[in-house]
Formats: sequence, structure tokens, C-alpha cells
Amino acid sequence: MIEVVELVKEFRKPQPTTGRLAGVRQLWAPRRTVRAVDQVGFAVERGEIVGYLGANGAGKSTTIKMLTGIVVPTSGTVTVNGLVPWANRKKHAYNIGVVFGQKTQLWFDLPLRVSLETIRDLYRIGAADYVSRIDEFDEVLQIKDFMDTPIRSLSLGQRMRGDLAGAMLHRPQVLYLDEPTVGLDVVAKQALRDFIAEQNRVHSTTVMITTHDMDDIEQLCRRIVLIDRGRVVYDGDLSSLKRRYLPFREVVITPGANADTAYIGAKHADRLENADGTISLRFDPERTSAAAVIAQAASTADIADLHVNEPKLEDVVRLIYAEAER
Amino acid sequence: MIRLGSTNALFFRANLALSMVSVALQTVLLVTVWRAVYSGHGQVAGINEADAVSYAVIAMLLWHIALPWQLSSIPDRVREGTVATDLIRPIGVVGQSLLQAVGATVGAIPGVMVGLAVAFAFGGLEPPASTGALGGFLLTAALGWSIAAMLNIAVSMVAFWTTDTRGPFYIYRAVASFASGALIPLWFMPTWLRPLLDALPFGLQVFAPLQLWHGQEPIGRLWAVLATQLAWLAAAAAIVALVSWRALRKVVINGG
Amino acid sequence: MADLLRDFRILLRVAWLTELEHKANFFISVIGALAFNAGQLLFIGVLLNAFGSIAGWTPAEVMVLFGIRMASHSMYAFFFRRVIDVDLVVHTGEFDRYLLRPTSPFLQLLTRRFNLQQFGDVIVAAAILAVALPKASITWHPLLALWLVIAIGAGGMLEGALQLARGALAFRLQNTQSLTALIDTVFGTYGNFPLQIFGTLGSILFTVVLPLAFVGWIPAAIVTGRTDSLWFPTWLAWLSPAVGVAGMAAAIFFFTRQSRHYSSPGS
Repeated sequence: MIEVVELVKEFRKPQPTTGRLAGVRQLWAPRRTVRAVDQVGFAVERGEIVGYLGANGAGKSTTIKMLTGIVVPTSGTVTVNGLVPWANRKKHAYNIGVVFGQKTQLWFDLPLRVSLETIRDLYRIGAADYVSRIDEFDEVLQIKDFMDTPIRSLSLGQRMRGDLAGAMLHRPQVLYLDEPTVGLDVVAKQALRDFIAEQNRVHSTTVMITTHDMDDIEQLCRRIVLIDRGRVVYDGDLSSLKRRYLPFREVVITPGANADTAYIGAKHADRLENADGTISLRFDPERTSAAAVIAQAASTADIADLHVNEPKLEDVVRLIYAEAER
Repeated sequence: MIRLGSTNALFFRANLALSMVSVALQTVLLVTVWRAVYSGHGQVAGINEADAVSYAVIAMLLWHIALPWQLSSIPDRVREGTVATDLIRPIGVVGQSLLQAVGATVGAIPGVMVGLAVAFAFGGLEPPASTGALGGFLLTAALGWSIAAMLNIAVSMVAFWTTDTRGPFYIYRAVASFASGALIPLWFMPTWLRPLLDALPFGLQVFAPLQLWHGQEPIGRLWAVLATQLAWLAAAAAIVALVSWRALRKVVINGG
Repeated sequence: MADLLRDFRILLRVAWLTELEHKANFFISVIGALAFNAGQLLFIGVLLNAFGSIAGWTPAEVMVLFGIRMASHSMYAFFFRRVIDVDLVVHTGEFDRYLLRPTSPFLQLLTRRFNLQQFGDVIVAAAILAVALPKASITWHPLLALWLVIAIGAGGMLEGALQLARGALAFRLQNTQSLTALIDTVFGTYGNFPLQIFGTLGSILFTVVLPLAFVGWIPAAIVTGRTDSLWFPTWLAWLSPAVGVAGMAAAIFFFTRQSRHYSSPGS
């Protein structure tokens, strides 16, 4: 559905100046070329949900803007459903829906209803289709509650639901979401995710999402593309990403009241004593199993409680970003 | 804040270059038009060609430097709601706007230099009648600038009551540019219009300083002009103070 | 084409509805535009009053020129005024959504707002022409009237074309607003003069380099029969409306090409 090959985008920016009369000297500042996206390549199949992750300024939004046809790349090719976005702009528009968390695509001063009707007319959506789709969207997004409120008076959560309805009204095959859940409350986030998952399931909509919210990723994405300083550093499924960046798992043991904990600690597991009296055993799942670690602990001491910590994507991303900063 | 204003004017180098070209072109056009209009006429309304050309150029430059004909940033701030915090800042929304006007004027100086140079090269510039005339011109022009800046702010404050400020500002700009003598010297105005024009503050911004430049005696001489300018400045400041006081109350009430 | 017209209607409706949200501004906007144009009228009026005729043209002929210039300016204001918003649309990223919808970005730009001041411009232009045309000695012919209407439309296109080409620079340069003001001033002030006033060289420049001639001077010379003032043969003057149409087509092409350099704001 989406094919990206050796995609590059360069921007020319003036060199920042500082010090006395910086504003005036800025006028003669030399320009330099910044490569925002560098040789990015991937392919997305129909019906996939792909999380496109990276730190701020890594090139996520620039990539999305090239895929949607807003920005023309410096070099490289993109085809979405066989079309080059910036060259076949009009035809391509029917194939895609786009939601930017930062700014609305709707008409700011007018009620949501007018925006949706205008989109219906611009995309030449039939009256019957329009009614049935609004009904369908309303089931998850509850947009009918605020159809007559101007966009500027909507809460952020309502606005995002309205934007999502606007983006999906013409039933595009591909949906791009750029930071859709920023600033939303838990309920609104869940409604958005449910809607996206359902559109994907029922209509096989291909979804590409950039987000900093790890719950979005954990709940929606089977596949992750990770970008850092304009380059793809990982492309694969979520669990291998965790394996790669968080190679250990952890068993946390709460010893019994008078247990002698001195001998807890299996082969291939690092023992850490926590401040609250619990003991963490870190192990590499390739070399030993959780069962072996637990069995060893249980055979040497009295155990009151234990649990296994699954690696969190958040930790993975934090790790990768920390690496990027260095 | 001064820096902010001049940065806005200077920051974009393309814009700076363009504004210099623009002033140069307008200077050439003005000189040509007035010379052509005068061809075949010796004196019109007691003014000869050289004086009229010189007047037109300096008036345009004053217009360019002193009256940027832009609303202050007040309307934008009202729309974005940042005005509430501006109003409670120590320097105040009026002070900020004034400093921005200063900055914009500083940013306009390169253009004025170009205009003067071009006019000089075309022989379209008459020197001031005397050193005293030059002093009077500078003094009254500076005061005229202050009046214009104050009035700009007063008109901008319409934003507190209506969302679209373009309409009122267009009216203000049209009246001001015509009545100030920036487009046509007030010498050429029909006599029946003169009392009305003299009653407005705009003539004090462009026409009166230029009369002094050309060694003419404005009504009541220099001191009367200065006194009237100060009176207008005080009046404009009073309006601004009153309006901002009312606006503050309005914003506070709106805010609950 | 039919598609484009239909999209135009759809977008115009939204623009109009948006404007109704601020309907309190309607009258003040119209009055503002009236005042602005009245200022230009006074400028010409005072000049004619003080000097009699300008560059050999009678006051009536100059007023016809002024009326035609105002009329073509109001055509520009009515259809193309929003081209001055290109900087704003580019810097705020509003252009993003123009590129995402299945219709012309240029059309979406023109209809981003419905500018009520346009009515003020139309009123002034109609009033001036109604007064000035009967006063000038014109030998009317239906074809001449038709030609005048076309010339006025083409003049509006030409002014729109220049502003659009200026706006298209915003995709690559950060700020070119002072060029907008320059075009406005030059058209608004000097477009009202019979251009022979600038000498032969000046009138050639204003025809070829900065095409001021097409928005008033040439049509007025044809209508009032003062083609003796033109520096080129009369038959060429009759063809002059083609310049406005071609100019607009070229400007749209340039705008579309430049929009490839759009670097949407925000990371």
C-alpha cells in the first residue's frame, strides 16, 4: 500500500547568530543545509497499523508530510496505492485521511456539521453514504453530541473526534495520524484508539501513527518503525523491538516474614536488593526461563509474593532516546 | 520590545531589501509625477515646482517612517487572548505598543536613507530654508510622530469591542493620509476644506513640519504649532489611557 | 472545469458562512473600503481642481481612467484579494490542508475568506464610472462596451496575477509583505494617471516591466479615443486584455511550481 524508497528531505536554514545585534547580523547569516529525513525506506501492506516513532525532531512529521503529499522530497520516491502523493495530488487525496494533533483540518469558526457537510461535498460523497457513515462514527466517537458547536468552542477531545470523523468520512484506504492523542484525557484517548482499531478491522484501513503515547502503540501497533536523526534504526514487530533494546526480564520477589534470603538468586540472573525489601532478579530469557528463576528462589527461601515484570515499550523508547542524546 | 519591533522589520532580509527598493521606486515616481503635473504651470497656489517636488518626497518619507499604517499588535493579542496577561505586566500594553512603534521606525530608517539619496540624485530635494527651519522641522516632526503613534494605538483599541479591526482602521488610514498632507500638500486643497483640515490633528504630523522646512509660517508660527501638537498629544494620551482603563475593566469582567 | 466550478460554489458557501459569524463587521468594513477609495478620489479630484488637466487629458478623461482603474481593482478585490494571504497561509501551515483536499489549492486560497470590503470597492467603482462616462465625449458602440467590460475583467486579473506571483515567493522567502504594499501603492496611486505623464520611457516601463498600463490607461485611451497618447499602435491596444488573462495563467503556473518548495511549519 505504501512504498517508500531512499526518501531524503533537506531544508536550508540560516545559521543562528547570538550576541550583540544578533537580530541585525542574522540578515547576513550564512545558510546551511539540514537533512531532516535521510534515506528512509519501508513498505507497508494493506491493513497494517504501523507506529512511526522517534524523538522530537527525528524527522517523523517531515516523513508523514511527504507521504501525504504536503512536502515534496529532495530525493527518493514514495508511492501510496500506486500514486505519487505530490504528483497525483488530487487522486491521492481520495485515498488518504490525515489527522494532525496540533492543528485542525476543519473550518475553525463554523459548526462541526458544516465542516463535515463541506467535506462530503468536496469528496462527492453521496447523501445516503454520508448519513450511514456519520451514524457509524457516532457509535464510537459520539460526535452527534456536538455537531452544532463551532470547532473553536470544542474541547480538545471533541475536536480530535471531529477531526477523525472528517478524515475518515470519504473512507480512505490509508489513515495518517500525527500525534493524535497529545493532551487528551484517558477516556478520549480510548475512544480514539477504539475507533482506529475498528476502522482497521472492519475496512482494512492501513494506519500510520506517530505518537509519544506508549499505550497508543501497545494497543494499536503490530509493527514499529523507529527513526532517529532522519534514519530508520528499527523496523519490525513490537516484541522483537523489546527484545533488542530490553534484553532482560525481571522477577520481583517479596520474601516471607522470617525468610533467609541469602541464597535467592539463580544462575544467569542478576540479583538486586530493592529499598522496600523486595528482591529483583534480572535474567536473559534466551539463557534461562522465568520458571527456572522462580523455582530456584522458591526452593531456597520462603516467598510471600512474586511477579514477573514484562518489558515496557516506554522503557525501550526511553533507552533509545537516551542513546540518541549521547 | 524596541528590539522586537525592529527585528520584525529587519529580520526578514528579503523584506528589508524590498522595502528599500520600494521607497526608491516611489521616490522616482513622485518626482516624475509632480514635475509632469507642473509642466506648463509656473506657480500653483503660490508654490513652485521645486518646492512641490521636494515636499512630496519628504512627505512620503515621513509617511513611511512615522506612520507605518499598521495596527499595533493589540488586535492580534486580543484575538489570541494574550492581552489579559499583557495588561497586568508592569510595562503595560500601551508601553509595549509604543516601543514596537519605535522599533518599526528604526527598521524604516534604511528605506528613508535610500529615498533621500534617490531624491537628491534626481535633484528633487530642496534644502531647508534655514538652520532654524530645520530645527523646527525636526522638533515638530518628532512630536507629529508621537501623535501618530498614540492615535494608532487608540484606533487599535477598537479591537476590544469588535473582532474585525480592518474596517475602522481603513477609515482612519484614509482620513489620516489625506488630511495629513502626505498625499497632496494642503496648499492645493480647496479653501472651503481648509478649516476642517486645520481642526484635525493630522496636518500637524506632516504638513506643519514641512511648512517649516520650506520656510513658511504655519498658522501661529512655530510656538503655536508646538503648543497645538502638545495639546493633541495630551488629548490622544488621555484617550488611550481612558480606553485602556475601560478595556482593562472589560477584560477583567469577561474573565469573571 | 465543471468540477472546479462546483468546488468553487462549495468553498464559497463555507467562506460566506464564516463571514456571517462576524456579521457585525459588515457595515464597518464596507464603510472602511468606501473611505479608503474616497481618499484616492479626493487625491485625483484635488489635483484636477488645482491643475486643470493632467498631461493633456481633460478632467473628464482622467476621471474615466480613474473609474476604469477602480473597476478593475474591484474585480481583483472581488475574486483574487485573498492572494495577499499566501504568507499567512504558508507561515501558519494552513496550506497543509489545501494540499490534502481533492481540489485546487489555489481555489481554496481564494475562498479562505469572503471579503466584505469588496462591496465597498464595487460601489465606488460603479459610482465613479456612472458619473465620469457620460461627461467624457465617447462614441459608444455595443462592441466597445463589451470590450470595456472584458478589459476591466482582464485588468483585475493582471493585478491579481502580480499579487499572486508576489505571494508565491512566500514559499521560498520568509517575508515579502512590503512588496504587497508596493504593488498596492503603485497601482492605487500611479495607476490613476495617464501614463504619458512619465515620459515615453516611463510609459514603456509601465507597460512592459510593471504592467500598470493595462489596468486603466490603455482601456481609458481606447474608450475616450485618446489613443494618440499611447506609445504603441492602436490595434495592439485593442488586444491588451489578453495580457491580463495570460498574466493570471502564468501566475497560477508559477504559484503551483513554487508550492513544491512549501516546507510545512512544525516538526
